[in-house]
Amino acid sequence: MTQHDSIGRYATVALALAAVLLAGTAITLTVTSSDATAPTATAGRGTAAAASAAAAAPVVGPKPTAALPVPAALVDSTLSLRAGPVPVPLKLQIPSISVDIPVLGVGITARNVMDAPEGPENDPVWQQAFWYRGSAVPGAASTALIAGHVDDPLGRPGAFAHIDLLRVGDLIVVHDARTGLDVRFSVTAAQTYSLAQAADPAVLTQIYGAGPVDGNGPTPSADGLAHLTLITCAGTFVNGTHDHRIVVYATRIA
Amino acid sequence: MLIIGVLIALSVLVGLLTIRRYRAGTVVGFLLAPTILLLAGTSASAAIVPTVPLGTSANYSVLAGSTVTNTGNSTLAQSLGLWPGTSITGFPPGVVTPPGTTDNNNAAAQQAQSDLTAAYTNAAGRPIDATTTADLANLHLGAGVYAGPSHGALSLNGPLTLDGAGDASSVFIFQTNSTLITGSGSTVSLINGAQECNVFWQVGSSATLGTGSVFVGNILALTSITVNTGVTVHGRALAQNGAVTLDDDTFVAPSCATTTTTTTTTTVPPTTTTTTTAPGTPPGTGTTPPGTGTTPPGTGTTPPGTGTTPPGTGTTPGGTPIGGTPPGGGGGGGGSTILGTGTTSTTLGITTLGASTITSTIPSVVGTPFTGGGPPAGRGIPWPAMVLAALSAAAGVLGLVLRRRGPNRQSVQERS
Repeated sequence: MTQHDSIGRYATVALALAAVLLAGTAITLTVTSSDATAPTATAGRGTAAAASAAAAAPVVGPKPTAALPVPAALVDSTLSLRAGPVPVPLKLQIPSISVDIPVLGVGITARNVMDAPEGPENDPVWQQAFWYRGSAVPGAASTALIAGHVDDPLGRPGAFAHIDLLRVGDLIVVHDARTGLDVRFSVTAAQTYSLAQAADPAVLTQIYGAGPVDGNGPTPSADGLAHLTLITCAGTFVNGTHDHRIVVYATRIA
Repeated sequence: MLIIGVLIALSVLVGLLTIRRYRAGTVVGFLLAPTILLLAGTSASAAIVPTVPLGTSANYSVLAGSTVTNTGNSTLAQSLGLWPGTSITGFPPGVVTPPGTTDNNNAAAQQAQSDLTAAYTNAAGRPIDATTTADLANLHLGAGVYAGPSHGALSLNGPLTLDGAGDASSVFIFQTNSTLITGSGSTVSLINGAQECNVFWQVGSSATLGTGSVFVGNILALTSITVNTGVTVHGRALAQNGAVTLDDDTFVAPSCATTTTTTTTTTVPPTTTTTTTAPGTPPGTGTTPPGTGTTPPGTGTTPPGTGTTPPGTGTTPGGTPIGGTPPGGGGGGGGSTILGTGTTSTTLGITTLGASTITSTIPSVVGTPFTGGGPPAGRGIPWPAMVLAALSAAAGVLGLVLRRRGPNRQSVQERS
């Protein structure tokens, strides 16, 4: 084998490697894009879940909250809703989708929507839940609202990436680390809203409960039960935000 | 970075296989250059910690980018600045103590923001001397540059002691790419000559100081700073892009005395009772009835200094944790006797509806939170692979060129 034949072989190998890498890059980008568009599918499944929820009764019947213990207040009562996030001694556990994550207490943004802290791509906030401090303590006879990110800046699954998979009757546990109390909820419905729908006061009232929408603290629920709402983004990323929200409704059972 | 280095090394190997018999000297250089670069990138450990020059931003107790909002009778020992925003509210009743000035969207504030950007970049660029726990409670640190795990969020839910070891120029820099959140029971203690003006907190997003706490140091935040009710800050709240929110707070110019002093900061919310709790008790679990706090807030003993940061001449040996004690479970920091103040436990009691005890005006929500991390596509481009592909392609092309030149070279060799 001559010297230039050898060179040619190595050159061919190098070019082949380059081609493989470029192809791999293209595949990677394609896969990334597919993963990131998952929220669109999420929205679809969420809608289906909502439809099924409307027709199905909860598997476990809710119990009057008055007979159940309620976690103590989670934050200093003087803490402004305009203040930034603070840790609260809760964990959110959803066994059916393998969620077991810490909870931050969050306030309200300058645009008067519930805060959802962000950070660099490896920041823990992408894998944490956010309890709205203007809503009720989970387990109280009112409405508590907990949000989580659907994905992170790289499109990787966030804390609430799979809440679209929740079905009526699925268990949601809010664990009080101070006392060991497990506040147990059962999913009763799920619904996907467009941003326009979610801005409707009636829908907001369903999501947050009446008090926060009226500029008050949480108010007692009409049915005397403790409600929990989970919310995350869904749909397509348009103009700097996702164009839908998926909301899971649950009621306390124990 | 390591992955990129490996990929570049692979590219080098491909190039070597292609041209090794023709360009021995080039190959050596091809191998040495990235190797030297990689070694240079990993040898940047610093044993000296100079201070962070704040420039004209040192003239400000509060400096913000978007808005400054104050509630109640906050007092600033130094100037108040805002740029490029224009909305400063709550002054009065807030007070800027003369000769401090209120610089709202003027040239001075703009220059201060420019200097703050430089200071932030300076602080963020320092190599760390040690990785701390995410919660800084119960740590006893010497001078140095510190960050939590993966440069993640920092919190302070107990006592933190900064030890100057007798050197008044000791510098302490804390870095986080995320948030800094201090609890209402947190304390910062400076001992053995450590000075308030030499404590820096580089915060990659936003900082929140717990109600009634006393904080020490210069906060250099990329976004916003929220100072909750009744906080005393021996330092500065400097936010580049976002808002600074105040509520009945007191800003004292950070001291820069030349003598060795001990400053103890305590945390005593005015509406809570100071009690000593068992170690490891989570914050906010006190059962003492509210209302009879006996220790007044803002008991820092160091008088206000001149508010000017000395030139960057500090030469402090690199920091090493001094007998740091891991924080106890729950981060309550209870039972610590370092500061002799015990732990402040906020009385919470049982409530039926949680936030219904909030007494301030509650804004009406008008929308849902944004809980997506970013656009679905277009991020996460594998640049290392792209670079490797480009280098490999270049090596291949070079090989082909050499192949074409091969017969001529061979004939030259044959002629010789």
